[in-house]
Amino acid sequence: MPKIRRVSSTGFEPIFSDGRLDLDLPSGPFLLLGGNGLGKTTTLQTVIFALAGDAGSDIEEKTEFQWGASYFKNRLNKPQEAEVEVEFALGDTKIIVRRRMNSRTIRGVKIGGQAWIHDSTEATQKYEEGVCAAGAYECFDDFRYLVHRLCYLGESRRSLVWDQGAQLRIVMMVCGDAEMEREFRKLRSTLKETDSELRHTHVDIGSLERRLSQIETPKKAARSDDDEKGDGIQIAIRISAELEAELLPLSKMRLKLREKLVAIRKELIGINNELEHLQVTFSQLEDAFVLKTLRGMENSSAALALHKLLIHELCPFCTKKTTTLAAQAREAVAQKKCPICGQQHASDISADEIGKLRQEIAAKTIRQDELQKLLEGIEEEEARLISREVNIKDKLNIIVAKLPRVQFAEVSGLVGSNPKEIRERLRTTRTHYSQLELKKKNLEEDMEGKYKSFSNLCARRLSQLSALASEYGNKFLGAPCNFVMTPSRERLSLFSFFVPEFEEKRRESPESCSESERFFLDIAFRMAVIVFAGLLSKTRSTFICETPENALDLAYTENVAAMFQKFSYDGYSLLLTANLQLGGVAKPLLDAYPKKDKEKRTINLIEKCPLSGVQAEKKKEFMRVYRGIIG
Amino acid sequence: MEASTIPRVKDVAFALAAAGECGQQLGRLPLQKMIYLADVLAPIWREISKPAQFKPYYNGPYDYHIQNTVDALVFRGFVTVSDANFRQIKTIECRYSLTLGGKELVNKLTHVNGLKDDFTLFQEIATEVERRGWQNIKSLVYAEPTYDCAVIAQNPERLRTESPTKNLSRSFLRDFRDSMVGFDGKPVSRRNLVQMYFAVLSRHATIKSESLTKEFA
Repeated sequence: MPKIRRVSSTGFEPIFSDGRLDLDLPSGPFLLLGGNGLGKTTTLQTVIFALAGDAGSDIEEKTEFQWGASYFKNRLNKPQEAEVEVEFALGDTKIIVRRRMNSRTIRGVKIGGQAWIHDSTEATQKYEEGVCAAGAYECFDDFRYLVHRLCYLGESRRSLVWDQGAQLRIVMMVCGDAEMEREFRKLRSTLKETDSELRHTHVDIGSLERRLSQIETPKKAARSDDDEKGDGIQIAIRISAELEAELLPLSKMRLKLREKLVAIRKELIGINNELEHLQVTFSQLEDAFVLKTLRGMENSSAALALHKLLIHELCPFCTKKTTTLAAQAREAVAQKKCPICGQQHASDISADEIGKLRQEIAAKTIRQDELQKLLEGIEEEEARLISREVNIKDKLNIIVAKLPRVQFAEVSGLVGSNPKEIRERLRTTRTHYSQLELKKKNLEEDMEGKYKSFSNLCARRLSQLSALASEYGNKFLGAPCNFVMTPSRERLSLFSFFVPEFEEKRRESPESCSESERFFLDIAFRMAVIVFAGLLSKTRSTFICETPENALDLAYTENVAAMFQKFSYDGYSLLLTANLQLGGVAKPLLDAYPKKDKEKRTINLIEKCPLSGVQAEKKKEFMRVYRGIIG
Repeated sequence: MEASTIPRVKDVAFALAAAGECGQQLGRLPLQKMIYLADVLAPIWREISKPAQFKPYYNGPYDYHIQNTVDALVFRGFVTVSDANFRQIKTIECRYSLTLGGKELVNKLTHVNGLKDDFTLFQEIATEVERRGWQNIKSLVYAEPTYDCAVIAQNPERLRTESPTKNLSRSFLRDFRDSMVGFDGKPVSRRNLVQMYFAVLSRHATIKSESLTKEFA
């Protein structure tokens, strides 16, 4: 994730007096200090916009949280002339991106040591490619999502802890891999669509049943052109019924195969974990045994360096006689330590122990192979079944496309006078419903299997993330707080999520926390995810946050400062906003730095921005608070 | 446990001994490559894998433990260095072989049940490499599918030779073994598998070099 080093905005009238703002961001915290309407939020959003563009429907499902270039239009005199340049590091690559505030396209980009690219289309393409290559992203959208939803906490205060969809996506991206996450997201979306279709079909069935009961009086009409059309429909319905009859056992077989597949995968994951552990132990045992043999030889063979030292008292380095070194070495060897560095350097291992472990591993490896082959066989069989199902479904789709659609609105008009047709439609709709049910069940099982694979494979990472988040949570609360995996209670959700637990109560909803707990535990969790992602990728990044300090009382201000300090000491950067007011987070956070450093880590927007009449009257007080902060 | 041992002593000693039987002294990088081939083949040879330690480095798979261990063995008198040539600070060329003490160590280890079998794998590898010329060990390793795929995918992670799905040589050999039976109806022997595997590596290396030549032409 990006570590921001420099931000340079121009043409930002009337927010900044001269339209410019230049920020050099050192490692650690940097604060935008000011008052209401002085451009703190705009500055942060400018940075995010430059890095990742707008937050459209792919980032935020709810329209009220979406924002983009239009946000700046209402705030700037000439948005078409306003421009921002952001320099950031992504892993080892330095990237500079330049964007104009009135459009999505990029005006220029410079990646690493390469030359500037100014052509908008090429720059946009190169920027996205450069970001994906430097950050090892599968696609640019993953980067955009992480920047908008993890690295940035804006004034909308969108929660990550209690937004299960966002948390699942980000945790899977960070702890698992992006491809797995994408596949999983696709399955979730298909499940939602299937569920919605299922409910609509259920409504259709109800409508048809009601309609049928309304016109259930026997009524024989003479044959007409409509009846001939009806015959065609009857043939189509008959063929589709035959195809459905063929399809159903296939789907059932596939379902059984899927069950087998899940069971085998589960066993395979278990055996893989066991083997991984056993192989490490075996390797260590074997090394220890070899060392024991080596040491045995050193005690007896006169040609070896250690023997010369222990027996002949000759220094192995300069070959001179040394009784002191020899005595020390003998003592170390007697205590099974290295005669040079004094660390433990021997273990008592017998060949039998290794033999037993070898047999155990060999047996498990053979079983692993068998399972792997079985899995491959079932996957092939499943693929064959799916292909047959798809074939039949294609034929069905062609027939169904030629039949009139069954919708309640149409039912009364189109088939209102034909109970036979309604009955047929009712039958096909019911079959469709049972197919959808089957599909939904399949999808749920597929997702459950995939999620289990993810949580099994990444169990260690998830527990590390939990420990890290708990550490940050503790810092804020000043009391034990654990982030624990909790099964979701949402409909169609088969997953677990991290929620905070403190004072012996699991906080599964945001309402179970106070306002400050809600905001700052969310910040703690975000910082933990950023740190964890950094640990995995061995890089550092920046967290950009509009500090919700109005939710804090005096007692918690220090804790928040300590939490931010921990993040900074871990090597990460913070770009924060804070109001120039007494008792804010800025002072305790900056207290750890010398005065000169404090000035470098702040910008006083009171001096940069045109003030309102009320603010101008209080300018002296603002300046006094600022001087208090920077000491 | 980890702090009290030296990793890979057995592998270094066996690789140098097996190469020594073919009259070959190994340099720093050929030593790495020979042990890498043994790691790749270990799961199919003895059904036991090594935890992932090799990384796809500039000059092929590299495990820094091997170099540290060989240096320690030189200091302790089990391995000797010859033909040392300091071309630049970072590229020291030299050849390693076992001293009498080193040979005795190998002798002792090969009398232990199971370890003798491991040594046979190193001997098989040495014989196959010897057949194709030791100067070609690099192209054989570059043609090894696990390494080849990691390089193509620019995957900087460790080469997962212990994984049943990531060790592609293992998957290939397992499928080959299961689909073939010998003339007498018995499964293909491990030795034949290794011989066949090297024939495939050789062929792949040739195809790679031909396609590279065409590309540059």
